[in-house]
Amino acid sequence: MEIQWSLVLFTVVSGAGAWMFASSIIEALAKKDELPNKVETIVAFVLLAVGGCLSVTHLKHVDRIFEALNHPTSGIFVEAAMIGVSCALLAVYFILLVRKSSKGALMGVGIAAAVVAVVFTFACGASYMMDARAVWCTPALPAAYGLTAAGLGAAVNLLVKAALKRDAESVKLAGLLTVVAVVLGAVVSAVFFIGAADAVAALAGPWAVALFVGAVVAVVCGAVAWKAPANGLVLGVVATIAACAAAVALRVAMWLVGTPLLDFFLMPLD
Amino acid sequence: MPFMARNCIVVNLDRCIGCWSCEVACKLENNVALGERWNKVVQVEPFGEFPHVSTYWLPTMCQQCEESPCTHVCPTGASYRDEQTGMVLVDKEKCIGCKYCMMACPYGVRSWNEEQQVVEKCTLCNHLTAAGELPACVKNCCGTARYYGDLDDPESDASKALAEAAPEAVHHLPDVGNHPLTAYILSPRFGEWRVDDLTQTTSKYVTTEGSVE
Repeated sequence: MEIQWSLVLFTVVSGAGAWMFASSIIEALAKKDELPNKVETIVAFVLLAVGGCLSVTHLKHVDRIFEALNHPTSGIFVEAAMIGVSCALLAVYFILLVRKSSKGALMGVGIAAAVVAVVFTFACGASYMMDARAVWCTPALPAAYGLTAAGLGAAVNLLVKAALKRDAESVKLAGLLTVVAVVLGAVVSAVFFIGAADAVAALAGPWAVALFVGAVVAVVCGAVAWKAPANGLVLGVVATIAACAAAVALRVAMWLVGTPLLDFFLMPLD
Repeated sequence: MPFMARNCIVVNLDRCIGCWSCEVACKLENNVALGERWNKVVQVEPFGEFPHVSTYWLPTMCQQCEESPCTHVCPTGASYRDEQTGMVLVDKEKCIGCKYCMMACPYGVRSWNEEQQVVEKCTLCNHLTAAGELPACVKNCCGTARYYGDLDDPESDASKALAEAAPEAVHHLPDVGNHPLTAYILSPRFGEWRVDDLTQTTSKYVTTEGSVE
C-alpha cells in the first residue's frame, strides 16, 4: 500500500510535541525539575499545531472540514478534537505561566494537557485498527504509535532541557526517560512486526531495520546523557534525529504492509 | 439502526459468461471515467487438477455491507446508509477526500474520482431503482445472471434467485464482521467457491495453491 506521508508526519510531529510536554511534566512530578516553562510550552504547542496542520494536507477538500461535525465518533474527528483540546490546554497553561499563577493550578492544567496529548498519540494508531487490514487490526499498532512517539518526545525533552541549561539532575532524568520510552517503543514495534512478519519481510524489511537502528542510537544517547549529562545538547540532538527516524520507520512500514483483505479495484490511495 | 430495506445484487455465477457487459453498462450509465470503476469482473483463474479444473468470473462491486466499515470511519458522514433503501451511498458534497473509507473497505471496491477529488462507488443505480427500473448492470446482463432487490421482500428478484438456489451454492465474500449482503450463487457442479483462499496477481486472482499451468 502507498505511504501516506502527510499522515506519517502528522503523527510523528504532533506525537513529539505531546510526549515532550508529558516528559517535562513527569520530571516536575519526580521533583527533578521545575514545571515546563514558557519555551517548553511553546515548543510543545508548535509541534502539536504543526502536526495538526500536516494532517489536513492529505485532504482534498479542506473547505468541507466542518462537515466532520456530522460524525463526531469517527477516528479522524476524535483525533482532531483531542489535538484541539491539547492545544487549548497548553494555551491556558501558558497564560497561567505569564500570570504567575499558583503551582497547583499550573500542575493541574499541565497534567490535563499532558494526559489528553498522550492519549491522542495512542488514538492516532487506534484509528487504523480496521478489520479490512488484518495486520493493522492489533492493539500492538496503537501501542507502537504511542510509544514510538514517546521515545521521540522524550528525546526532544532531553534536547530542550540541555539547550535551556537545566540542572544536571533534570538532564539525567531526561536521558533515562529517553532510554525507557525508546526501548518500550521498540519492543511494541517488534510485537507489531512479528504479527505481520511475512508482510514486513516482503514489503518493509529495510524500514523495520531502520526502526531498530534508530532505537539503538537513541537508547545509547539517552543512556550516556543519563550518566554524563554535561554532553546533553549533542546527545539530545542525535537522540532526537534517531528517535524521529524510528518513529517514521514504524509508520512507513505500517503503510507498506497494510494490504486489504481483497483489493478488487486496485485503486491507489495516493 | 434498523433500515427499511436490504437492497443488494445477487449474482448467479452459474450463468455468468464473463462478457464484461455489466462493467461496461455501469460505466456508461454512471459516466465512470477511464481507470475508475464502480463494478469490475475479475477472473478466478483455472485451478484444480485435470480433468477437475474450475474457473469462474466474479463480478465485484460494493457489497452493501450491513455493518459497513466505510460508513463507520467516514469523518463527515459523506458515506452513509440511506434509511429508506438501506443502500450504502456517498454524498459527494460532504466528502473531504481523506480516503479512510477506501482503507476500511475489506474488498477494495470504492473508487476515486480524479476529476472531482471525491470517493465514489456503486449506488445500485439508485437514480434508476428509485423510479422502479433495474440497475444498468442487471438490465444489461446478457446471461441473466444478475438480480436486484430487497432481501426482506420474498417477491424481489434477488430473494427469488436465492430461494431457488441450493443452500450449498450460495456464497458471500469473506466476512470480517461487515456482513456483506451481496450474494453469489455457484453450484458445485460448475466450480468450487475459492474466494476464501485467493491471492492477487495484478487484476486476476489465483488460489493459494496456484493456477493450472
